[in-house]
Amino acid sequence: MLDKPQVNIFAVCDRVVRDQSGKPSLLGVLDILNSPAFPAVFSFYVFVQIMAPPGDYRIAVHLGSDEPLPQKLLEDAVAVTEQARGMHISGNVTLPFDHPGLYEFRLYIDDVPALTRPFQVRQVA
Amino acid sequence: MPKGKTAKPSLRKPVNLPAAARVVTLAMYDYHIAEDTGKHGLVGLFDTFWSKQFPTRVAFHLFVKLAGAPGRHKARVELRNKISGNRVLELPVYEFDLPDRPVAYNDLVSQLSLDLPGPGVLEWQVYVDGKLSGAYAFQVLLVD
Repeated sequence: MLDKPQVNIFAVCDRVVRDQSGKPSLLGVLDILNSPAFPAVFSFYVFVQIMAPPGDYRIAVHLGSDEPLPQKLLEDAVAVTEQARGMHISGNVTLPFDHPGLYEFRLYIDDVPALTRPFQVRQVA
Repeated sequence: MPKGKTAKPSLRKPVNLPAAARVVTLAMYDYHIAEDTGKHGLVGLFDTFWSKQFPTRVAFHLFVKLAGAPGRHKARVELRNKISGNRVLELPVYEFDLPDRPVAYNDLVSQLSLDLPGPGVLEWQVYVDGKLSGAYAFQVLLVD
């Protein structure tokens, strides 16, 4: 059905919860991080769901910014055994930001860039 | 800069803003929470429809998050049988404005009811400004 991995969900949210069957829910899906003052520390979840042909995959999420070095936020291996079943990884991330600005989450599958997701860190009154 | 000094080459790599509109997330789920803050709650994510018998009717939510350049865009979402190519469902075409700010997204939330005639493979196709911006296949399965 698929000849390469596809990214269904690349989300940033306040919380990821799972019911008894393991079905995930994303609470507080957000695009912008607001703080009245900087430096500021934010805590949030990154959630990724991919569908892919059967095989083993390594999924990683990095924080990109206008800084020289990207920062790895999340990395996990997933084994896809059934065609067309979504596989997801998620993790809680706590990050300090020295200043407002434009940042980017970069998603890699087996070290190949798969999707980027820019986001803004903003100072609000 | 003091006289006589030259600027160092910058190591700063700019964040890549999307030039063309594209899909960041397409999710199917049971229940939607619209928070006062503008945030969304996507409760009960799933990627496969299961049924003990067909035809069957399913009710669910679809969330599509689009990123793109500032300006007006037109989006169309449709569901097709991946094998035959036949169209199963088409959402109304909708237009949206992305504001001129560093990062802008558009969120489409749809509550859907869908008749599934039998098992198979279906695919969401999202067209933005006439171009296919994302295709998301999923299975419909018969279970005992």
